[in-house]
Order: sequence, then C-alpha cells, then structure tokens
Amino acid sequence: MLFNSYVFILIFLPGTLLLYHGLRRAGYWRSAIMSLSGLSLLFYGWWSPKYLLLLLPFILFDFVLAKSISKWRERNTAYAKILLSIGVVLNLGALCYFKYANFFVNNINTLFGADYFLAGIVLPIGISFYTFQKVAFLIDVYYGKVRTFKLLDYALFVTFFPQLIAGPIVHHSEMMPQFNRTDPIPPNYYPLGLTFFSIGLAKKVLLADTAALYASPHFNAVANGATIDLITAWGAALAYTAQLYFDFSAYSDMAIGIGLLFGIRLPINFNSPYQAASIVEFWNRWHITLSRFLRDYLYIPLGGNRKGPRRRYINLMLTMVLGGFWHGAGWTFVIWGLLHGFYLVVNQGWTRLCTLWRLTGQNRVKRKAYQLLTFFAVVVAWVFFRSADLPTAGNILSSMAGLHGMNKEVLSGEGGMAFLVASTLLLFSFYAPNTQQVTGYIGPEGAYASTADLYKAETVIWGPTPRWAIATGILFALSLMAFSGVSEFIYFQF
Amino acid sequence: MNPIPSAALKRFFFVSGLTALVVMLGVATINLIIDPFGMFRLISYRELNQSKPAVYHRVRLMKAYDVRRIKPRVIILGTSRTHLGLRPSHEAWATEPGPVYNLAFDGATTKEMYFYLLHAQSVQALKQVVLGLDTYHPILSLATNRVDFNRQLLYEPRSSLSKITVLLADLKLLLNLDTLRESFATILAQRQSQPEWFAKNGQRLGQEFFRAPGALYREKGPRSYFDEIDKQEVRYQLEWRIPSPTQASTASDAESDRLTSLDYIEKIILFCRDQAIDLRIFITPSHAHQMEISATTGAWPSIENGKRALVKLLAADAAQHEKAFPLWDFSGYSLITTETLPPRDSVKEMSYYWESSHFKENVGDWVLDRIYEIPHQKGSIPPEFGVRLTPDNIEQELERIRQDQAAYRLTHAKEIEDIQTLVKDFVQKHHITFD
Repeated sequence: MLFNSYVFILIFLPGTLLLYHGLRRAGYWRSAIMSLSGLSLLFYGWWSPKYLLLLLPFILFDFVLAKSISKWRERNTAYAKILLSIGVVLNLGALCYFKYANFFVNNINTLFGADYFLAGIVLPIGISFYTFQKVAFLIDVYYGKVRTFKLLDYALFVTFFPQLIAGPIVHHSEMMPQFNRTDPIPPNYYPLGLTFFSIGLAKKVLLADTAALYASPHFNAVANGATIDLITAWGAALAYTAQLYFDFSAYSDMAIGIGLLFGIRLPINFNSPYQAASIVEFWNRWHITLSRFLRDYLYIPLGGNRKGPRRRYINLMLTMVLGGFWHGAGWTFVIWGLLHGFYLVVNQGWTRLCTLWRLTGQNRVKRKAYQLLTFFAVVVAWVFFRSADLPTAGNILSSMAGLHGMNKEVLSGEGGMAFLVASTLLLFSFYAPNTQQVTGYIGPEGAYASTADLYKAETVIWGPTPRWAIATGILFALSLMAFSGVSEFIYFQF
Repeated sequence: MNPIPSAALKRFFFVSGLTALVVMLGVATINLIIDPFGMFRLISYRELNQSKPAVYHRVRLMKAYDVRRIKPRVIILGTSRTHLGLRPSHEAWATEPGPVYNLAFDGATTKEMYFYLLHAQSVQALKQVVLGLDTYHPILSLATNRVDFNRQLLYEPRSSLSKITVLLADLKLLLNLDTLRESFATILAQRQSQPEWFAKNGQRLGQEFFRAPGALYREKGPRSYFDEIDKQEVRYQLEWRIPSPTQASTASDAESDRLTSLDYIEKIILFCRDQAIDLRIFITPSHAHQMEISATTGAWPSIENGKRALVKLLAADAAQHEKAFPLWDFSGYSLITTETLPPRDSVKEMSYYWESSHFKENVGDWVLDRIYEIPHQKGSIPPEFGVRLTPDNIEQELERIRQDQAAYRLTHAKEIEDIQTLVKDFVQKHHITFD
C-alpha cells in the first residue's frame, strides 16, 4: 500500500501503532518488534502476496548465511569468503533476474535479430532497496563489524515498512540497536513524527503531483512522436525537476515521520540538493543513503581515490553508471549515470585545477554561479532519467536547445503555468529550509554516516506548540483531501 | 531535542486533530452547499450555484446521484444518442405514476449500462427499462468502461458492502480539493450562466446544447458540423487499429474483466427477467452516413452478426417465458435515416438530425411510438422506420437493408465518395493495415 492512500493512513498506520505501543506498554518489547515485522510483511504483501515468496525465504537464507559467515570468519577465512560470495551473488543475481533479465533479452534480440522472450517476470517492489541493505549486512558480518544478531531484528531491519519501498536505504548499525531498546520512547518523537509525515504527505500530493501535471503530458507526447518547442521543453524539464525532488524527498520525510511514531529514527535522505554548488555536493545532498552505500560498498572497494587520479576517475564513472543502472533497467538510466559520472570527473578535475592555480577562494557570486551551473547540469541529466527512451530524451534536449523553434504563445497558456508552478517550487527548494532544518531532526544517534553536521541549528523553528499543531493539522487535512481527483470524460463528439 | 511534558504532547495532538477536522468539515460544508456535481441538490440559488457547469463532463457521476434522489420507476439506458433523443415526458409514460428518467450518457458501454441498471433497481424497484443500443454494442470484444465510470458510486441489489462503498464514495467526493475547486468555479460561473443542457429528467436538451452560444454546431453551421462529425466518426471507428505506440483511445479501458460487451447485454436481459422488469431494446437510428462509414471501415459484417446475436439472445430468453422482450431495429435505410443533407453553404438545420450520430427529439418520439406501439397522431411514421427483429425475419431484414444500402449508394454517389476519401486518408496517415 502507498503512504498516500486512505487504507494506509486511516486503517493500517493507526492499527499498527496501537498494536505496537500496546505491546510495548505491556512490557512485551520483543512481541512489539515481532508485530512490526509481521505487519511490515502485510504492508509489503498488500501489492501482491506473491512478492512475499521471494522476500521471506531470502530473509531466512541470508540470516542463516550471515550466521555461518560470522561463525567461520575467524576459523576459516577462505570458507567465510566463499559463503559471502554466494550470498552476494545470489542476492544480486535475484535483483538482476527480476529487474534486468528483460532488459538484457531485449538488447540481445536487438543486437542479434533474435526473438527470445521471457514471460511473466514481475519486478517485486522495493527489491532494489532491500537487496542493498542485505548485501551490506553480509559484507559487514564478514568484516566482523556485526558480531551478534537475532533473526527478529534482522527481519525487521530488512522489512521495516516505512523504508521498505522507497528508502532511505538503512544500515544495520543504525537500525538493529534501536530495535533492542526498551527505554520509553521520548515523547517529542510523536509530534515530530506527525509533523514530518504531514510535511512529506503535503510535499507529495500537493506539490509533486501538481508539478507532474506539467511534466508528464509533454514527456509522454514526445515519447509518442510529438515535437515540442523550446519553452514547452524547458517548462516540462523544470516541472519534472521539481516533481522528482518533492516526490522523492516527500517519501523520505514520510518514512522518517512514521519511523518516529514507532520510536525509530531513520537516516536523513535529502538535504536541499538543488542548493548544491557542485556535483560532488549534490551527491552529498541527494539520496544521501544511496550515495553512502555506493561510496562504501562500491567506490571504495574499487580502489576509491587511493590508486591515483586516473583510476579514481574510472572508479567514479563505474560507480555512477552502476548507480544509474540500479535506478532502472534501461539505457536512459545508464546514460543518466554516465552523465553524472562525467560531471563528477569534471568536478574533481576542476577542483584539482583550482588548487593548482590557487583559485580556491569562495564568495557569494561565485557560489551562486556554481550553484546555477550544477542545477543546469542536473536538469539536463533528469531529462534522460524521465524519458521513456533515448530518442525521446534526445528529442526533448534538442527542443531545449532551441532546435525545434520557439512558440511564445504557449507562455500565455499551459506553458506559462508550467513555468509558474515549476519556478515557484524550485525557488522553494533553493531558498526554503528543508524539513530537518526546520525541525532540528538528525538521523539515528551515533549512527553510521551521521548527517548531524549537514546543517546549522539556528534554522530550527519547530516545537510542539499549538501553532505547529495547527499547521500540521492543516497540511494533513489538505493532503488527505487531495488523494483522488474527480475524473472527467469529454466525449469526442462534443 | 528537549523532552516535552505529556500535557503539551496531548495538546499538540488535540489541536492538530481538531484543526484537521475543522478544515475537512469546512471543505465538506462548502462542497455540500455549492454541490458542483449536483449530488444532493440541497440548496439552489441563482446567484450561488443554480447553474452547474462541472456536471457537463461528469454525467455518469451526476446521474448516479440523480437516480438516488429521483428514484425512477422507468429508466432509459443508452449512449448520447438516446441521451439526446428520448424524452421521459413522452406519451408512452403518460399514465405512469412513477418518475421516468433518462439514464443514458455519452459513450455508454454495455458494462456501464448494466451497473447503472443494478443501481437504479437497488434504489427503487423498476417497472420498465428502455435500452438503446448502438450497432457497436452487441460484439464479442471485452467489455470496457470510460475513465469517469466509478462503480463505487453505484448500489447493487442485496449488497450491504455496496452501501458502505457508496457512503465512502460520497465522503470522498465531499472531502475533496477537486470538488472544492469546482465549487469555486461554480460560484464564478453564475455570472455567465447559460441555459441548462440537462433536463431534470436526465435528458440532454439538444436545442440548448447545440444552439448554445459558442457551440461548434452554432459556430460552424449545421452542414459543416455534420461533415466534421463524419470525420470524427472515421477516427472513432478506426483509431483502435492505429499501430502502437501512437495508439490513442477515447475509450479508457481502465478496467476490463473477462466478459464481452455482448455478455453484458445478456446480463441486462437476465436481470430484467429475474426482477420482472419490462425490457424493450432498440437499435438507434443514426443517419445513413454512420452506416456507410461503418461499411467503409469494414465493420458491416460485425453489425450484421451483432443483430443476429441479439435476436438469438432474446429468442433463448423468450423460449422460457410467456412474453418475449422485443428488439426494434431503427438503423436501416429509411426516409428518416436517409434525410438529405443541407447544401454546404447553407445554415439550414436538418429536420431529424443534429449530425450523423445524434437524432433529434421528434425522431426519438417516433422510436418510442413504435416500441410502445402507440398510434401516431401527427402523420404516419414511414413504415420502414423501425422493424421488430425476430428469428423468423432477421435474415430477410438484413438482406433488405443490404438492398436499401445499394440503392442509397446509387443515389448518393458523391457523399459515399467523400466518406471513402475520409477513410482512405485516415488509413494512409496512420499506416493502418486491415489484416
């Protein structure tokens, strides 16, 4: 079920909260954790119970494997390494099969004129997220970073429903210790959780979904063979840029909010990424939990920046291409990753040149210019991310470059509205403080890759005051009333 | 974060909960008073909400609520043709004590008609149903529905669950920002209010709709509008053949079950029989141009087979009952359906048609005269207009229509050529192949 659905907000969430806190209050802490695991599976199986057929056996398999690795790592490292390899290969193999098999078959068909067909592969929702979490866990068990762990905690770490579908990608070291806490949940968590959730919900249904109205029709039209002019193309690209940020960061806000209602702190995932003044900074602010995973479990094992600049650039490219491919099984995602890899290489190269030429001084104008350049680069890359295929992306970028002309008249209609909506939202993302800045929320205490130092405390204006209660109530009510539209049917003959 | 006292915590939740409740109640109250979709019609003021333009494109929604309020004993089901052409105030129901309601709507599919029939029967036991079918209804394609069809708005007989889902659907519509937006638009629209398109008995009023200021019919003139609709009909009949990815569809197949369009007609027949409802079916009298477009796009065998299938269904039903449900076919080539088009440069209206698809109310009156076997007082109806189809005469009637069609083609060669050009151009433009 989706966070922005009546069944989740009016039935599932209140029911789960009542059961969880009821059990905790009665002193059944482990039962509370068990109920949360069970209900997380219900949440997951709501889409299709058959997804559980993959998730459940894999949790058991990974747990047994992790226990074996833990047992053998000191006695026989080679054997432990084999077990780890089996775990990594099988987990990534499942991800590859379910997510990428059709992509590879289609490309083989195109290349060799073959006609292979794989029927019935359904992508289990959230598989990309929980596979990474499980792989990271196995690796850390192998390196001795996790020594004791229980099945229940492990199961909840993989399935905890607030983050199961769309992240944040959590790390065992920041989650599993929290499941064992028996001390009372700080009362601040509840109003803060509700505020976070309401802000997230409003960002999704009021802002992101509105922006989508000005992006999707144009991307779809171009995919169907239409050509759009310069103004429409920029309107659509900027609207999508706003949509994606408000949509994705909304899910993270909602996840953090729900986590807090259960007394569990999830890591921050977005930190005003469009305020970044370089691509390196962008990736420290956008989907932070993915960046830290790619850094620690891909980029650094590849050699990171320890093997000279050339190898560093190759590693960067490789990390970003694989990161792009992780987002979706399509060439558009590969190109998106490739572009970001290229941006990062240019960014690193420029930083080196600036150091060599002693141009490291910062000032406001320079930062703004860098910010604008970074934003422009990100918008261009998003065109690939959103487009149905490469020709569509090429077509839209050509329009953005003015190759398909400019129609000023669109400004007085839909095109003007697209610019108005997109620029309002983007100005908001440039200048307004983000949810954690407003509320003072930091990720899990003392956790892996803490984000506590990402912002300044002076922006915190939230408190459990009546004023915030009213604001939260208004946001919640308005969002709830925006879940469903009232469909129209315009008959072709009238 | 500093810990907060539990009193402050309780106050936070109380205030936020109360605020949310007040906001939602406020929105629901505005929506209930303005009622942009004509759901409950509690209050009606000329300056505030009398005219409701938001219903024009949400006819299915409005009619679901009309049925709940009006509680008809007789309903007319069908598409926009029936919606426009059949008036519930017809003499056929002069002695009928209960309300008669035109429950037809634009682009209705047989699946939608079936669920609206169930809805009406759940609200009030029906006495009669008139079912207007177009020639594309009795086919074996999977049944579909349009985007604005919402089963949650409809009651189903003996279903407590449907009572709950309808209540929830009511709440969803009242507690809705889209409805609130339409409420404000409704208030603003009162300043430029136009004559209502819809009669209270559910009929779409052709004379108001087509002749409204700004309406295409009025702007272009009847003949140009007729030509335009011919063009649209070609698109409508062929667009499903456009190869993907450019496949466009006006019919939204949001839901599809395993039942065909014909299956739902059978379900309507069985339901009416089971509930002792008097059912009368007719095939609508569109202008001969519609038949010619169907023939040119290759749909003629499907039309004939559809009529055969209908006759077979009704014969199977009749075999088990004393009285058969009648099927009247008005789609043949008659004096009505072959009405001469006005010259291209004229602004003269046609007597029987708004355009090739939609017949006028006078034709609808004759349809009802026929199917209710009312002696006609204002001059005789052409004898070939409306034939009751039975297993005994179906093949003979199909043959007669073929002969009339051949004769029509001889006398209207230029019009047929124009239609063929329209079809050919569309097929070429969209790379359609007939295989």
